[in-house]
Amino acid sequence: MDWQDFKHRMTAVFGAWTIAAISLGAFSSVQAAQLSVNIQNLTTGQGLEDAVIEVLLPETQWAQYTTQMDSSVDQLDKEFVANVTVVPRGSRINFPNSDNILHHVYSFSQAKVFELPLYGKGEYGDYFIEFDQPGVVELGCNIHDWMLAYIYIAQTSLVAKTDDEGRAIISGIPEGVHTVRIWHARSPEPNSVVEQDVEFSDEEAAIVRLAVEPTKSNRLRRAPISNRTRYR
Amino acid sequence: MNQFFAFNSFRSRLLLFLLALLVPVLSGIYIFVTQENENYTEETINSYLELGADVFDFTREEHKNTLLTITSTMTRDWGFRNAFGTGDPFTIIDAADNILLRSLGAAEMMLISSLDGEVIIDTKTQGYQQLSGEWLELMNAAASSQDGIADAIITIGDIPYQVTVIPLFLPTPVAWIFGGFPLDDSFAYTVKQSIVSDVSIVRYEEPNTAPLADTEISVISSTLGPRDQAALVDQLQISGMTSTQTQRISLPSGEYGTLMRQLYGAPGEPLQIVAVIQKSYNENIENLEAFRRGLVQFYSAIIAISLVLVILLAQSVTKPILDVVARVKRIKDGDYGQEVRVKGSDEITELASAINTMASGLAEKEKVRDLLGKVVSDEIAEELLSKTIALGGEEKIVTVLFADIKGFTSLCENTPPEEVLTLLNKYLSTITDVIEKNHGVVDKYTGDSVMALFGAPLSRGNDAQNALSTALAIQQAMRDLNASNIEQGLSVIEAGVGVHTGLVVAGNLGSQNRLNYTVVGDSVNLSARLEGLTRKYNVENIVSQSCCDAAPDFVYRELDLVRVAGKNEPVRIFEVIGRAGTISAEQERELAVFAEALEFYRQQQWDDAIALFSLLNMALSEDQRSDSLYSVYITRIGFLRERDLPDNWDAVFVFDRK
Repeated sequence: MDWQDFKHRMTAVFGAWTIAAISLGAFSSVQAAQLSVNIQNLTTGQGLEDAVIEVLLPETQWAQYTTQMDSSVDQLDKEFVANVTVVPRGSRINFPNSDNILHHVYSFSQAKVFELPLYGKGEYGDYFIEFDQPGVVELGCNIHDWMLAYIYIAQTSLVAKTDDEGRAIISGIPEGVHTVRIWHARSPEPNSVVEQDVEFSDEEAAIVRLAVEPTKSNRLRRAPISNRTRYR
Repeated sequence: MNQFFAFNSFRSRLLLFLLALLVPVLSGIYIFVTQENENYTEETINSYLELGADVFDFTREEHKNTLLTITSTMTRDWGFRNAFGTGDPFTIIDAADNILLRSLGAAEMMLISSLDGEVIIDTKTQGYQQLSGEWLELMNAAASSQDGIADAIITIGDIPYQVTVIPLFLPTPVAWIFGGFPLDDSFAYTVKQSIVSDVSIVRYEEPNTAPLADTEISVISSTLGPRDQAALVDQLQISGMTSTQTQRISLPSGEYGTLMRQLYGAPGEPLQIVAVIQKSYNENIENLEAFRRGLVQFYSAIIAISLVLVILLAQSVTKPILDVVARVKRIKDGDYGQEVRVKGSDEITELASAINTMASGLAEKEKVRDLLGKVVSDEIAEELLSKTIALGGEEKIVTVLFADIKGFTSLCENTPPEEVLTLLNKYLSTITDVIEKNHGVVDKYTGDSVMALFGAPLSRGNDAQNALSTALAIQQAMRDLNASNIEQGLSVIEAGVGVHTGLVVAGNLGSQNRLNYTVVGDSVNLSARLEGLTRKYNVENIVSQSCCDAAPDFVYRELDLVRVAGKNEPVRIFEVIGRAGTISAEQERELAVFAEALEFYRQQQWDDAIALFSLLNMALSEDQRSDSLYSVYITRIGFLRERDLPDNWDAVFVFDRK
């Protein structure tokens, strides 16, 4: 399932993403090229968390700017932690279970189809799955339909997600004009991206300001009594 | 029978009145109650229908929710997720079929499309590549809804399907799952089970061009039988009917209240599908009929009972009235007995008891009259009854007649008492009959003597004649009586009669408590004396001068001139012989000779007188000679010859004793 495909599919489900303003500007800087991003949620006026910003480099630079890493997506209190995990291509992620009950983690996303059939606490702690295709992987749990998390697999390591104030910074960007891609789970065209070419230089940091109106969440509602401590 | 039904009889009038009263009231009640019942039935059926339509909607909603539950739950099944994850349509459609199988018929079709409407699988294999029309509309409706769920009725091969759509989460929405079940006979029967009404799904084409053209109706599914379905198609009124308007349709299996619910087709669109909810009137009509029958039976019973009661009531009124009428008729005929027995205390009872009182009053009076008639004569009784009885009297000229048996005392001595009584009664009855026949009134009986009045209390104008006729008739009756007495071996009796006409006082005599109508006065005494003298003169009767004067039509023989006891004035006495013209020549000669003899006697020419009296006496039969009138004179002359008679002898014979 590629980007366009996914974007296209989600169209029918959720409303349109409205880009209120994009402000990309290059400022003089003595440091290496850096991108500073600030994304605002138009609906709430707050910063938009968990937006992913990736600087696309030409294929010749991929290897140079990619550092594989190991990450972890935990399952705690019947939720994935974290909600969005950003990794460069070829990285590995494990899915430990911190709950006292079993989970069944799966993905049918094209970037990586896998499942970890029912396992409990302490199992699969050292079992890492390698994500070698760029794209978005949607994680689900077959026991808890509301559990949903995303893994964004970028082409290189020039990727970051916004904090709870909507800010993100990517450093070490080679000079030149590159496409900046922005993704959010609640983007107007589902899983669509906004792309903008930005000129990067060592002298000045690039700043991207974006105000967006996210669509409603496509998460399923959590079962109201899912926090029970007794089962009979 | 005619009397029974006669319009003017009290009973039939009462019946008519009752019917005139009951029939309109009962009819009114009947009409009102049946009308109310029909209205109630109509209302009941209509509320059944509305309830039925609501339950139909509810059932459809429930089915829909079940469908959603099934599609939602089963598509989150790991097996299905896995199957979908493969992206292999054959695997996916098998998984879908599997779900339909697991739904136990609650879902009958499944279609899965991509989020943008590309058909992935369709268990009905309708051949769609891309969703369009109603399917696309449904998908868009779900996409724009809050929870991504929508439903619609969509026709698949002419059969309407209830279709729902939900997203397939994997774990985010990746596809649309359409599930559906047909609104077919099975569905109709399911609904019928809960609403106890018949359900039909009917489709029709809305005529665009000719609004008045017949709408083509066809039944898609129905709980009705085939004949009813055909009739429904013929009779169902489509145009202008709203979802709350009921219509009454007569199907082969009975009357049906009918209500429609729109299922498919927005207003103005050609194809329309409606649910037709129908409730049979049969049960209610049967109930109504049973109720009507019951009412009619009840009314019949009421009318019958009322009629019986009225007849009894009428009888209770007419029976005593008829009894009273019969009683009155009997009273008219003189029968005062048999009292009308009426119980109770109503007006009729009062009437009956009044009539009873009246009858006993009349009976009493009649008894008194009878008694009076026996005690006194009819005429006196009449006089007494017709006038206010009071003491005192009036002076009037009355002819008084005394009749007596000659020698009664000696008769009594020689005859057994029973025979005396028989004789006496026979005699008195005979005498009384004769007196009454001649308009006389018996005043009293004194032993063997009878006193009769002529001219009191009422005068007939010829009272003296009547009295004389009586005297003659008594003589004749005595002769007849003696003839029969001789035959029966009884004694022969002779009666003496005295008659006098004179002034008397007539009236009621006695005390206030006991009255006696009679006459008193010298005339009465004289009359009695005259009767007594018959023995002295051996004649059957003696009549006074005044009586002879009052009755000139009779032939008399002057008997003598007498002075009776208690009277100074001499009285000329006569014997009545018979009515004028009835006397034989021989008798007339005898009378003439007697008159001549009497004249000799009065002239004291004794020899001539004796010669004539003897002559007359000799003419009698031998046994009569010794006690004849003539022998009386012969004896008297013999006696007088011996005496010195004064010069002024007046030939008056004196009777000193009574």
